[in-house]
Amino acid sequence: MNVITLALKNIRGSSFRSLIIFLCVMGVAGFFLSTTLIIRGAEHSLDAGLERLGADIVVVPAGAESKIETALLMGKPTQIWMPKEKAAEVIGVPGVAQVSAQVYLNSLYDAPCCSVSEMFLVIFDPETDFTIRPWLEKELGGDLNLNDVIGGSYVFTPPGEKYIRLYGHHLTLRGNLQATGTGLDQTMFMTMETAQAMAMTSRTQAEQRLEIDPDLISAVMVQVLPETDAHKVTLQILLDVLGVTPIESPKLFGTYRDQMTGLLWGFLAVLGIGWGLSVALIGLVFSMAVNERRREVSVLRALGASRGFVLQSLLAEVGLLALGASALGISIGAVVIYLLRDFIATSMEIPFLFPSLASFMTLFIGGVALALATVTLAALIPALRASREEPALAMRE
Amino acid sequence: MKIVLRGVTKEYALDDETTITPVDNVSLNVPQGDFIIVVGRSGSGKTTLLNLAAGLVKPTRGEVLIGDLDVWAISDRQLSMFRNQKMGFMFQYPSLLPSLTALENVALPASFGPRKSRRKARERAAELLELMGLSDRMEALPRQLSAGEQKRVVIARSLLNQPELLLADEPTSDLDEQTEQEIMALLRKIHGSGVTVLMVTHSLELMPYATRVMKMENGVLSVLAGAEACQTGRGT
Repeated sequence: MNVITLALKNIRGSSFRSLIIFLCVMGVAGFFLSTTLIIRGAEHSLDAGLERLGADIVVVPAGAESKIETALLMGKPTQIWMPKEKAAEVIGVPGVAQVSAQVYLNSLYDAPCCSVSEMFLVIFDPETDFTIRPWLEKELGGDLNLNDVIGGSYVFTPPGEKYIRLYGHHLTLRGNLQATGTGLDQTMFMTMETAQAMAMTSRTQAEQRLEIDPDLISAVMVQVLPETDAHKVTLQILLDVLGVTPIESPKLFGTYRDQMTGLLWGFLAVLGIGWGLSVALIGLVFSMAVNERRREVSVLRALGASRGFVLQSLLAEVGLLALGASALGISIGAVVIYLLRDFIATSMEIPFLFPSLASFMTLFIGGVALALATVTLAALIPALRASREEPALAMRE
Repeated sequence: MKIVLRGVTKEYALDDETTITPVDNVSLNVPQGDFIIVVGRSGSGKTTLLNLAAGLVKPTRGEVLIGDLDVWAISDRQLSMFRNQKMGFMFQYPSLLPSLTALENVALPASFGPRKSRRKARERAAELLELMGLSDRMEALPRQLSAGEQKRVVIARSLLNQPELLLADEPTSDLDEQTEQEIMALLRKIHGSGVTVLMVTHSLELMPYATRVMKMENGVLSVLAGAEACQTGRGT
């Protein structure tokens, strides 16, 4: 019989104590996974959103920073405007490789002429666009035709219908972009030509006319030259182009990242307290259990078990419990977070995209390692004390 | 295998001011092949003496030699291996591991020994249990066994590694007369096979089984009867 077999038999033999340790570890591991998964999910989502945006710098009208963040993150439609000439001014800034203007619109709220309510619409220029077109070419093998649209991962044609109706205009959904967990998943992308056709239809078919001023744009996507510092270019745009705010992509969701950092610290604090309590509780339970089994330990020593064997067998007991409990806790946590991902994103007002399998496996291994470290720390002192005790002393008591 | 205790004293501090001395300057020579019974009342220091002889407790003063080995001059690992390979134990209290079956309990000492002895441990454990008349109780847990059956499992366990020395602490306590005789008959048989036996008991009736009887009183050991007296049962 080896250390593991003996530990397994002892676990089975003292089911109540084992259950307490198991539940304790499972709770901590589950909570660790859930909190970390939420934070990682939000970060993953922001990163995916930025990648989808595909621009190094986003230039918006001055004062519209929070509006664009809310629109891109939460899919909440926004109306921000600046003169079309701003795009031409931006391209003149040193270090800028290319620019592409976008116009932001939205569908009507709860109107019979629109099959989707208050959807964020991004109008891009196929001539200059470098964010949507690469995807179109890769996935669809060409550009969008008139009245074609592509949507975020949550955009779909209503069941039983062939088209999506916006402002009474029929649009064909040509494809869906990969999920980002941000508002881009609930956004529809179309060319200016299609948007103009839709505006035309709205005059006769919609509850409210769609007006698109050809002289106004909402944002300018900027790509900087290779080997160029985007930060310096951003500062230069700020100096050279009046009435706009350039935002470096990594800083685009700065407000949300700050909120998430706060959230992370809050979670970490709760996790730290929970972890400390668990170490204390497991230590206490294990200490009581070892105390009850002093004679058993003495017998093992008398039969020839070395101190090392006794220590290993006691630690193996909690180690095996921790292994099983953390694996189960983490799995349950992951399933719960996966099932509630939309609820979490909505209720906490954060973007959320379930991390990749590799990222999840890293978390899984980290969680199991943390659980093993926790129980080893909690059980080490009682186990050491038991293994070092004079066998005959325990027999006398 | 012989045991030699030279001027051994064991003291326990109860608190800062009070110390008890269950074994006080005891010298004992147990030659190979002897069957020594140490009698004495409860609290006289018998069990401590047995633990000292087994190297389970370190003496405050004095020397313990088993064979030619000073047990407190070797490492814990060496001492553990020595106990495992050369000694068999029968404890006064229930000493079977509650989560293991009778067979697993008997095979347990092999887990701490050399790797090659582990392979045949279950086989030998089954043989020993059969020898103890427990062939139909091998898969029973300790709580499913009677007191007598538990004692017999303990004897089987103590014999697993074919020890040269058997240490028995009140092996017949809490047993009825018939079971007591069965257990003692087994011990006599083990002794007959060349194993040195050191046994402590409060029962004077067991004296006839010994080659020598000693008495423990207030931590002091004295000779009560020699081999001849023991054989005729006139020890007292």
